[in-house]
Amino acid sequence: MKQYYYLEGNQQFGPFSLDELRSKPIKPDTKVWAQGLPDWVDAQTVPEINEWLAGAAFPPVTPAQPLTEVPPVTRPFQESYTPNQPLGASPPKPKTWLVESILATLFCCLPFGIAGIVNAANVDSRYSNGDFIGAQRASDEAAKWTKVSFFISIVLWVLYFLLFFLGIFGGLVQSYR
Amino acid sequence: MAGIYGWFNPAEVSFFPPCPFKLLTGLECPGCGSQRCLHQLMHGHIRQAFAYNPLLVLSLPYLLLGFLLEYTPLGRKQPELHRRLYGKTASWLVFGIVIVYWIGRNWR
Repeated sequence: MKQYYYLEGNQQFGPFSLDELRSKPIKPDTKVWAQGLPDWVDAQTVPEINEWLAGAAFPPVTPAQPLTEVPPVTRPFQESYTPNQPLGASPPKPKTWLVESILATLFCCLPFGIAGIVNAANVDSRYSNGDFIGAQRASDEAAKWTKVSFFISIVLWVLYFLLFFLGIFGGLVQSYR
Repeated sequence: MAGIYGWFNPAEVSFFPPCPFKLLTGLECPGCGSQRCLHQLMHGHIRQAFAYNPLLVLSLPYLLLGFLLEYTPLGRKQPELHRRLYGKTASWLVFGIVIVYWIGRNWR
């Protein structure tokens, strides 16, 4: 299930389930964050929260409120986590891309892999400081650098290969003239 | 891809791309020699492989374990191991080793 956090001043509260969140003092402009959101956003911009923010000043007290009322298809937010991942007290640690970054460093011959390693370290240190959003950002950054260096090297490899054999082919054509 | 690296020796044939960093700067990067190293590894020549890129040979067991912990159920069984060996301390250590290795191999 999705876990929500909210800010009051500079204090961060959470994680809460959507149900628990209803009993908190959430106003339309309270900053909230859940997995998949890029940053803290106003509560009213999150459809499943706005649903009860707009309607009820008093949160409905029916305990067996079915959560499945929110159709997942209408959620405009990109889920950056694999669903059904076990959730503890805090959101799961984003992927650090450490191993992939080392591979990129060793095989792609480009310093981009090193940028990946630095970001891998940032993911872990930000996560252990409770900065889950920062950790997610570092993870995205690490993923980006790893992929950039991977694709550049694949492209270089293929280009080089093509040029080499075109060169041979050209040479053959020349010698038969 | 693996077959190409196993069959042809990058030290002898010329259709393997050179390192762009080395081509531009004349200096070796941490990944230089990896293609030749891989070829020797596939033939079981650990010593020659080590000569081409020692960092690659040494880090292979670490990378393999990292992949196992990341992508197989092993990681869920050993979260502590994963956290310790692939956390921030490890990441900075890897970063340090790569930089020192990079400088060191151009020093000679």
